[in-house]
Formats: sequence, C-alpha cells, structure tokens
Amino acid sequence: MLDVESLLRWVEKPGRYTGGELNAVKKNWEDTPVKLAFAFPDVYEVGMSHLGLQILYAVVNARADTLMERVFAPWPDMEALLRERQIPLFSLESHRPVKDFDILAFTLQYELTYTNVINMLELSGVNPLASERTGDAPLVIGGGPCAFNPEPLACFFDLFVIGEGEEVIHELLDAYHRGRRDGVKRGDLLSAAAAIPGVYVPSLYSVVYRPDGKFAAVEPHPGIPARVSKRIVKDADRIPIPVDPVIPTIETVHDRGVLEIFRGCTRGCRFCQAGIIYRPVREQELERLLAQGRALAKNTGYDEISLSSLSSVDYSQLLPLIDRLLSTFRPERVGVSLPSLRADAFSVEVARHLRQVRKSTLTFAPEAGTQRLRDVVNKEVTRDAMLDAAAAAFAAGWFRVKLYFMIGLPTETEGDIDGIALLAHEVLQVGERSGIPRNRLRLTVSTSCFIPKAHTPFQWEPLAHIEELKGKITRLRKQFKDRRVEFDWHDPHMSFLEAVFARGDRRLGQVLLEARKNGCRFDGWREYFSFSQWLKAFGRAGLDPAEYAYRRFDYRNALPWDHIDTGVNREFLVEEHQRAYRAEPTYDCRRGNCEACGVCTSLDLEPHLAEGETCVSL
Amino acid sequence: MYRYRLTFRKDGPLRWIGHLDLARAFERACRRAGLPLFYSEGFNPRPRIVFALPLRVGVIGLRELVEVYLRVPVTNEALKARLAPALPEGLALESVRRVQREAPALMAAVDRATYRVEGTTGPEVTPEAVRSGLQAVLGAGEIKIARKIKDGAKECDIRSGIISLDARCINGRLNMAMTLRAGQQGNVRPEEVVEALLRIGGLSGDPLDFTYYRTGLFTVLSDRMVRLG
Repeated sequence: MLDVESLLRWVEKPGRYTGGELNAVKKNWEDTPVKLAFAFPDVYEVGMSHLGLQILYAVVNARADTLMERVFAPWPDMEALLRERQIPLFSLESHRPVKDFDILAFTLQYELTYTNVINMLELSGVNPLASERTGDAPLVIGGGPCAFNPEPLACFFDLFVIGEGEEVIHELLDAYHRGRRDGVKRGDLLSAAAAIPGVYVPSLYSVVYRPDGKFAAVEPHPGIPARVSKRIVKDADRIPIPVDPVIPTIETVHDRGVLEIFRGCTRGCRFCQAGIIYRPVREQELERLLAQGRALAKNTGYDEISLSSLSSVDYSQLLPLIDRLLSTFRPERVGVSLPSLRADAFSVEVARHLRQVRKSTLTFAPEAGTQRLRDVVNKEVTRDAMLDAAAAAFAAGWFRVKLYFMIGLPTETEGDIDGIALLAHEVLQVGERSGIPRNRLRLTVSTSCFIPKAHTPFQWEPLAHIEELKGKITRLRKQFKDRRVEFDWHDPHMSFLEAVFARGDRRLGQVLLEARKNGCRFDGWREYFSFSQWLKAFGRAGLDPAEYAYRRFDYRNALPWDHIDTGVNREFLVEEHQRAYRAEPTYDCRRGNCEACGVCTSLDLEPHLAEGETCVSL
Repeated sequence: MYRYRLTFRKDGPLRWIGHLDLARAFERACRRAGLPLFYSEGFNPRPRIVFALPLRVGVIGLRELVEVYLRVPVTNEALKARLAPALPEGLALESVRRVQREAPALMAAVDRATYRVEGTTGPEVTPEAVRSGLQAVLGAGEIKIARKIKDGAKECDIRSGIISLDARCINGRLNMAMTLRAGQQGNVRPEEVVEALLRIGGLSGDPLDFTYYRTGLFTVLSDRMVRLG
C-alpha cells in the first residue's frame, strides 16, 4: 500500500483520493484471485456520478473470486505530485498501485477523455501500447458508448466490450480466471476472449489501407468473427438496480440517488447515438421500481432520487411511479427528479407532481429552431407544444426555463438559427403574458454543436466547419440582447476534436500519443484544452483532422466501425438519412408501429413496456 | 422542535472533506438513521442541522459540535444508538445531549478553539530556537499575516487572537498547543499561528507540513472559558 495520506495536504479537494466512502468495498487482497480496477478517465466528481460504475461495482464485487476497486483521473495538481515523487497511480479502496491489478477496465463515455486514458496508463507504469504489454502486465479493457467506434483507441486496448456490460463481464472474468489458473498465455487468453459474443479484440483484426494511405476496411484474422455484435441485458428484470451505491464524500456533478427506470429509447432522433446503441426499450416494472427506489432512498439518505433513462417522461407508468414514491418520501422531504423534460404540456404536468417537494429550473430540448429542421432530425416537438409547455410551466409557478438546441445540423440555414432566437423570445413572451414579474423571468438558451456519430442515420454527414459554427454562435449572440436571457454554447474547437475521434480510424492512435507528448489531457475541460497542441500532434502524425471531421461518407464507403454491430441494420440508417432530407418523420415503435430497424430480430427480443405491454415487431 | 447537541470526531478519510461536504454527509447519515428531522418551510426545505464552527480540510476534529433539530422528541440514548451506526467511516459520535430550544445559538456561542499541532522539522530547529521563536511571537505587539480571501489576500493582525501558545521541540518533532479566538469575530486559524512562529523564529518549514487537531470549542462566560458540548 502506498502512503497516500502524505500527498493529500498538498492537493485541491483531497476527498477525491481518500476512498473509504460508505458502501465502498474493500476485499482481502491476498484471498481474492482476480483483481480488477475500474478506471474512469475523468475526475472523481464526474466519475462518481456515473451509474454504470455503480452497477459494475456491485456486479463484480458480488463475485467471490474477483474484487473491483476504483481509480479516477488525478487532477493536474495530484498528477504533478505523483510525477514529482514518482508515486504510481493508485486505487481508492486499498491505495495499491494500479499496475498490481490483473485487469484495468476503462469506461469510455466521451472522446475528449482519450488522452486521460493514456495518461492514466502512463502514471500507472503500464505501457499504453497493447502490443508492448507482455506477461503479467494488466489486461487493459474498455467499454461504454465510445467503444462502438473503438478504432482510434485500438492500439491501446487489449479488448473492448461492446454494449451493456452486466452479463458479458461475468463471461470475461470466468474466462480470465480459468485461463490464468491453467497458465494460458496472454495471446491465447485474448483469442479465447474473442470468442465471447460482444468482445472485440482489436489485435485480431487488421486494417487494410488504400494505396493513398486512407482507410479501406477492417479484416478479421482467420477464425475470428467478422462482426462483433453488441451485448444487452434482454430481460429488464435482470438489469441490476443498485440500492447500496458508493456514496461520495465530496459533492459530485450529480449528487443524488439514481433509479434507472428503463433502457433504450426509440424516439429516433437522427443525431442520437444512444438511441441506436441502447435499443430496444426495456422498461422496468412499476413494483420493482417502487421497491428499489424506496430502498435506495432509505439506504443512501440522499435528498433526491433521479428517475434516469434516455427519455424519462416516456416511461409508461411515470405518474403512478412518481406519486407513489413521493408519498413515501414526503415526511423526510426527499425529492424526485427527471434529467430533462419533453417539450409538451404532459411533461409540465409531470413536473408539477415532482415539485411538490423541491423547486428547480425546467429544462426542455427542442434541439432545433424551426419545424422544418426538427422534422429533419426527427425531434417530435412543435412550436405550439413548446409554447404550451412554457405556459403550463409559468402558470405552475416556474420562473426559470432552460432550452437546449443544436447548431450545425444537416440542412441548417440562417433561418433555422434565427428560429432558435425566435422560439426563445416567444417563450419569454409567454412568460410575460403569464404575469411573471419582469425581473424574475429567466431563460437559459444552451447550444451544442451537432457532431456526426458512428451508427446513427447522420453518420455519413460532415461536421459543420468550425468557422461556420463560430459564425452561427455570433449570429445568435447578437439576437440575445435581453438581460433575461442567458446564452451559452459549446466550444466549436472541442466539438471539432470530438467529431474527429467519433468517426475516426485506427491511425488516430498515433495522434493521441503525440497529443500526450504535448501535454494534452482533460481536453473536455476548458482550462486544460489546447487546440494548438492538438494541431501540432496531428501535424507530427501526418494526419489532417479536417479530413476526419468534415468528411462526407458515401453510402458505398466502408466505415471504420462497420465491424461493430449494434443490431440496427444499415438499410434502416440509410432510409432514415434519406427521410431526413425529405423532412419526413419516423415514429417511435413504442406506439406499436415497427419501423424495422432490425434490432429486435437480430437480438431476438421485443421492446418491453411496464405492466406487460409489449410492442410487436415485424 | 427538539434540539440536540452532538459531539463527534472527524478523522480518517473524512478528515479530508470540507465543511459543506461534511454537512451533506451528516444530513444523509441522519436520514439513513431514520431520524425525524425538522425541516424549514418553503420550496426548498432543509433540515435544521447547525455546526458550531467550520473545520478546515485536513484538520482532525476531536470534539466537534453540531446541533440537530427533530420534529419528535427521542431520548439521548436512542438518538445515539440510531445515528452512530449510520455515520460513514471517519465520523464517530461521542455524545448526545438535549438542549433547551431557547439556549443561545451554537454558532454565536463559540469564542475560543483549542488546537494541537505536530510535525517534523528541519535539523536547525532546536529546542532553543523554538523557545526563542515562541518568546518572540508572544512578545510581539502585532503579527501581520496575509489571509487569502475571495480575490487576493487581506492583511490581518492575529496577535490579539492568540490567547495562549506553547511550542516545544522534542526529538526533532515540533509540538504546539494553542488557544485561539474563534467564531464569527476575530477568528484565527492555527496554520496562521504556525506560519508566524516559523517566520518570526526564523525556522524552516511549511505550515502544510504539520498535522492539526482541533481539541475543543469553548465559550467565554465572565472571563472564564467553558467547554461547549
């Protein structure tokens, strides 16, 4: 064990590194054969807000043969101290060097954490390159949404798990434990792992390049599956709902209990990757959620329980769930919250139920400023529904409303940008008409840049040019002179980099190494993001980032992520892409009309709604 | 509304969390314990839990104080039996005592805090050097230190806030004990006193090299220090 205590007085927020939180699991090191470190490549406060960590922590630590401990990206002050004193990166539970673990499992939530992954490997004394790791070096594995285009990270990882991890992690740990007991060599262990459905071992796939050096195809080695299909937990009852999560001792980004009410979302927003990769919808039964929600509140002492999912207002039993939870929670003033609301009056009705305990800002995501563009992206929100929602919100006593939009969407015009400002001002006018005092009315307009993501109908689309994005932001800023409106936006340079990696190929591994050499890490944090260092890194690697970000793929082009199978068929994505250009809607299959995306047939299951309602797929 | 004064220790991993995080941890523990907390009215109801005096990150609290208000009366023993097991590692409940609802507010009652400070220092720190440093500090008319505030630093005179100070060098270790003015007016921090001793005594070292313990909180009643809690 390392002397972590002596470091703590020198760093900001030492609570990030102490461990020892309530429900943290500290197993006997010597008695547990398999040791896994779960690595979150961002700071503690971000990582501890992540439900996936809590689920896997519970699932893995329930195994007698395995222990799981946590490690987060050290903040730059701690990193400097570790380097200066030559102390290796350590786990929170037992303060042991990460290098002493058998498996190092990174969750990949966001492209701009990739340099943190490499930095954490460096700080652990683990060679970042998988091909250089031998013998008893930890097996470095990855999962999470970014694993659906694993290629930019392929050279750093021994394997990736595609899709939901709860079940496949057991198969993987069984194989690892068995293999190690039998003295199986690292390479053979990886070959055995590649036979587990959902496991992608990048070293067993070769990338073929065209004569000009550009990506042509990914080809499996003999005997290795050509495509890796995502794993999901088919039966909603078997999706773990942790009720004894580790409770952080310092305030986190989402400092509340999380109750996951369903997985998957089939609203079909054409820019949304989560909507594709977590298909189909699997709702939890009401009674299970009530029992788990009550246990969660009682065991944690949180004053707020968040009903989490990709689109929580869509849960078919939402009002009974909220009302029945609140009736138990009311004496101790525990609140129930939703991550965001649909822009319609029903959502406000829902919010009114929620607000019986606690008041906050209401957040809606119309995503685009005009009906035409909302039809293009298949965001089923109308101006009237949005204004009705705003009117209902103001009538119910809210003064603060937040609206989310995207800029740089395919087919977007200046008129669509102006539409954002127009819609925002209409919401303000509704507020005035509702009699909200002038000085109390507040509207936040938040814009992010559309980023084409792998496996979505917009995967073939380019990112809008950085200068164009900046121009759109400036255009909007000029239209938000009203002091009651707060306008914020995402840095287009960060979006540019995110776009490069979201659709990148294996060659980008070199860029990541160069960027690390230039000191890049915490790229998602404005104070540490350095675009110029990144441009230098691309230059040294001989690659042009613009080619990646601004590329419009042809339907005939092979895509670097073609060997990863989400279960949604390509024809559906092409059809959706074309419907976008015709501004034609595609409806949510929750309503019973199957749009034949293919996920149910390929995974052999059906969408599941609470209380036995089931949609029939084609 | 029923008012209870609790003494507790703060050490272990929780030594490294700040005041607001401590308040959150305490509140969650009270809810886990199923205590009938008394809540404020309004849209954002908060339980009434009041700490005597914030404890800085890293300082070990040996006899810290907090008051918890309940809707329903419980015995001191029952409160302790329910809350103690619900506290996270690093918080230990020492005692519980019901206090009169009308008793003076806890935060306003705090006038003095006592601290113990320990650390290893450089080889030039001899018993004689420490003794003369201590004499210099105690003999000084004023001691200016730069106190960090929101934007920048403010110069403060801490001399009148040092009620008593003892410092000894034993086997290369520097041990200090001090009583400092505390609370809403004229509060002095122990690391400021250590900084003053090192600077005025010409001793090497950094206040951050030391381990700090807060050993007690006191009120002053007709010139006498009376322990709170």
